[in-house]
Amino acid sequence: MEAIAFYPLAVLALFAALMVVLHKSPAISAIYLVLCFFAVAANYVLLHAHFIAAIQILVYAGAIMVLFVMVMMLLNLDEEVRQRRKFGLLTALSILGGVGVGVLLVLLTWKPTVEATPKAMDLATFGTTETVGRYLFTTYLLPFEAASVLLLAAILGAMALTRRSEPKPGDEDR
Amino acid sequence: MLHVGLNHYLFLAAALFSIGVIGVLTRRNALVIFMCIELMINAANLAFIAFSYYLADISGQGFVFMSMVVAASEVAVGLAIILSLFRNKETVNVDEIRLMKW
Repeated sequence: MEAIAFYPLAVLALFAALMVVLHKSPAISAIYLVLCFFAVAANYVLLHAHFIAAIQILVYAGAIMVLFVMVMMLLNLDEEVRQRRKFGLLTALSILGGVGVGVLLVLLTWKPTVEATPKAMDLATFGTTETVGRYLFTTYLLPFEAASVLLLAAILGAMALTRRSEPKPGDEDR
Repeated sequence: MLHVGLNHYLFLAAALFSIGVIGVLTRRNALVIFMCIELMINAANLAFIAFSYYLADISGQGFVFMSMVVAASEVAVGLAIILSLFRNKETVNVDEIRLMKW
């Protein structure tokens, strides 16, 4: 039953990820990235991580990708001439390196003896908002609060980086 | 074959990560490179969730929550950097941005 859902979702995620890399237009890449995020979120649901799946769609497919598309609109990239790069030695080496990283990860994690069935757990409560929330607010309360400080710092940093400097009275016209 | 185990999810995560690495290395548009980094973060998150389920331990999901917070702030600051870079250099092609290259 799980396999019926897993294999199409895995193929969909891999296809979308490949299209992110291969498509020429950054806007289409962004749309394929949203598709990939949805496929990964569906995998989270299969793994009984319901809260994380919802957060994935809200934060990644929602907020982060809206930010990407917004910046793309501000950059106005379509007017830029797209130069075609030749398939050179550097590209081949890069692909080889990427595949090498993948093979290395598989070799490091490949354990045929690992149990294919999860350990005994209460599936009714595992991964719900209540369980994850209780975990975050008791065991890891301090990192949780630190995360909010990090978000505040990121907001301030983004504002400081994108602010246009106001011409001061003493400055020449800029 | 029809039984999906931990290894299947780890293979999927490794493949997604590998595609992200290839994208970072081959693409020249700073925005697309950034998207590929998101792809790699997602692959790592998937591995976390898979381990969390197969070991019946909720802490993997807590880690993914924190990782998403970091990814969100990273995107906010990174896109701001790309935006101010475009204002100064009129390009987002990483081949043409060589301020630090000597």
